[in-house]
Amino acid sequence: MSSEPSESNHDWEEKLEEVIPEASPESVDVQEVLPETAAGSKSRAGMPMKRLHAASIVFDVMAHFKSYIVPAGIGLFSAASGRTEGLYFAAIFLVPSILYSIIRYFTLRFVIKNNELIVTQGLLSRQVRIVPVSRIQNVDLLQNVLHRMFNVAEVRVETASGNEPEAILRVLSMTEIDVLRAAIFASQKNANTTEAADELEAFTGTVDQASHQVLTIPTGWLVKIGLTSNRGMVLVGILFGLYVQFDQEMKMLEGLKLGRLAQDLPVQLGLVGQVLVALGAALVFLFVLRLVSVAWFVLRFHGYRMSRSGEDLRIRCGLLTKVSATVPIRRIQFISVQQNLLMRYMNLASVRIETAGGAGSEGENPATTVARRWFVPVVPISQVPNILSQLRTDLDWDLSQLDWQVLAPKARVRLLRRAIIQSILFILIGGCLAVCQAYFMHAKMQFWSLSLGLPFLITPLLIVHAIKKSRSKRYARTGAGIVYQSGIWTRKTSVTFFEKIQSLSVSQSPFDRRWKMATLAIDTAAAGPADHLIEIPYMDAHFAQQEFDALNQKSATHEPRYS
Amino acid sequence: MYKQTGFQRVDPKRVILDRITGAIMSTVFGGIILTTMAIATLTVHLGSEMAFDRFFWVTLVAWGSSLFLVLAIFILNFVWPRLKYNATFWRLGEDGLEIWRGVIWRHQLSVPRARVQHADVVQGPLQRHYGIATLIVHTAGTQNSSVGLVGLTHASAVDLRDELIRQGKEIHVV
Repeated sequence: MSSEPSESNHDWEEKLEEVIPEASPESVDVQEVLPETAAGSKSRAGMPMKRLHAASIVFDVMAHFKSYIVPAGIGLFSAASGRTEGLYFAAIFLVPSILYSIIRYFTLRFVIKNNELIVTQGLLSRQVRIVPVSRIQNVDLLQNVLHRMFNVAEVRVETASGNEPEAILRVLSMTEIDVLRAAIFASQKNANTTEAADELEAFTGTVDQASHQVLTIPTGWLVKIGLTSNRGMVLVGILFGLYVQFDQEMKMLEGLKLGRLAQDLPVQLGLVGQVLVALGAALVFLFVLRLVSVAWFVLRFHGYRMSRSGEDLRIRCGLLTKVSATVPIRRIQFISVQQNLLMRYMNLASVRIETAGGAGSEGENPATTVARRWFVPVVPISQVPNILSQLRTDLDWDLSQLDWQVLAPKARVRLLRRAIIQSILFILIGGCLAVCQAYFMHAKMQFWSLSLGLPFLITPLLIVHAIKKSRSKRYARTGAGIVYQSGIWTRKTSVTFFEKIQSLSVSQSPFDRRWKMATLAIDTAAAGPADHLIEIPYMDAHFAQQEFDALNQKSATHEPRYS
Repeated sequence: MYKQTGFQRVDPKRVILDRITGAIMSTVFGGIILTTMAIATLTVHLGSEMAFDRFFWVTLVAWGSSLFLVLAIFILNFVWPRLKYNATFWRLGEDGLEIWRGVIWRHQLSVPRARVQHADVVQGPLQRHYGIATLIVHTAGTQNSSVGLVGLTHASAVDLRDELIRQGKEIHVV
């Protein structure tokens, strides 16, 4: 509380003591309420509870607009073209959500008291949610350009349970966040843990504890990772969706229809010319895609800074939308180092992590995107061991020194056999198709020769893929946990720890039994964002059994650690 | 492999229970198949005088195969519970709960004792009649976040649950 900047502390403590004489000094301490919100309602216990910032209504409505983007778009277009039907349609969806936002603003109250964050909400059915501060996993802050204009930010409080944040406070003023920070910090101190509070501190710029910098990412690296990434596909998807929408609603982009474009091309191009034009278009498309990716990475991760304070890692980044997230080190379940083909050439890697909670159905909100899906978006491969040693001291990231176990010796034969069977099937299907085209549909030769020839072209690819696949997977057990590597294009090397293993399984399909193989699967909490399940197929059955027993024993005896 | 130390089978009554549910299922499916056949036959054969001669063999083969199918369903539902029972083992060891199960796709699962979040004992009406229960163990995991063990006697399921959730000290599982 020493760093609390509020100058009217003492007045308010006195007033609060008048209001609630029975409250302990501690809990009074955490109720330093700003004058304008103190007049708000009181909970049943008589505690003054705080409201969201008045701009909340605007931001909440905007958040809902995102999920009703289709009706909203239809409404807008219909208004633009002077019709009213679309507006009514949009109103069916939007008016309730606006009403909901207003009601939410007037009914949502929160307070931190007795080391618990209490959020009450609702008009007809009242909901009271109590989150013990010691159970809070992360407090993520989100501030986009609009937020900055109002000097507010969105606060997301997450615990280990479920997919959704335990509480989303959308939005709080920065002064209010300062107060919340102080309250959580005080409570955490009482609970002898320091988790989320530091990060609130970092955001508001009053850093009490000594923290040291782990990593900063210069913009040059972000440009490089953008060039290797297909991230731009997301935008293309959105554009395509919009195009379809436009096309159906307004017939506005009629002139831009792809078919029309093809018709306007000079017809005298010939086959070679057509192929060249197609290739050129593909190259231009790829280039634009990469530019979009670069833009995404720069916008999202500009000024990336990871620092370590005590047992927490703090990440701040963002150009337009600023994100600040905390990752308590002991909550890290799973670390994954990933490299796609281009990144391997450029000696770059990205590091992803998984923490329990808050990772799931909600998809890509900027905060979870930064803190988990893209923990370290890009880093030269030489610096990976250094960063990982910050996460776990017992993790020795020297991949060449590990006792790697490859798949069962016959895995390659099995995969090859499968590839050959697939090829034969493709060839048969292609042949039948060609016969049908030639005799029944009287198609041109270039069509039926394509269906005849394509399977033969695919066959060597399938075989190479099978060999590569059998070589790409390997597994190692270290002193602290297990390491699993897989992937032909995107190589993923993941590590999890004995005390993070939630359950183990060995499975055998009838085919596995014939080949004396098995699949070893290791389940951890929140296996998702890193997109790499530890399910190791085609292992030697005997070895899998041996590892199952060993891991079983190790994971049972390794107690979850406290730092 | 299951002949390692300490593995137990579930209660033999599970076979009876599964056979009863199997018999109900078979009757429903068999009933649907035979009713469909009967309706089809009647509509074809009542349609015209000539139908009996023209479709005699078709009808015979269709009835034969559907009777065979119904019989096969009954036999499978009679045999399968025994196979399932023979393939299911469990053990509560020092490390935690281990389960073996699966007739064609075999699975061997293990949940360390310290990772158990909570455990349920569930009983359906038939299970209640036979004094059998299903134990469901929940972990904080993702892919295998709940592991079920069907066919324990109710008493042993409750014992097992109590044993699993008893912990010496508070442990943060995640």
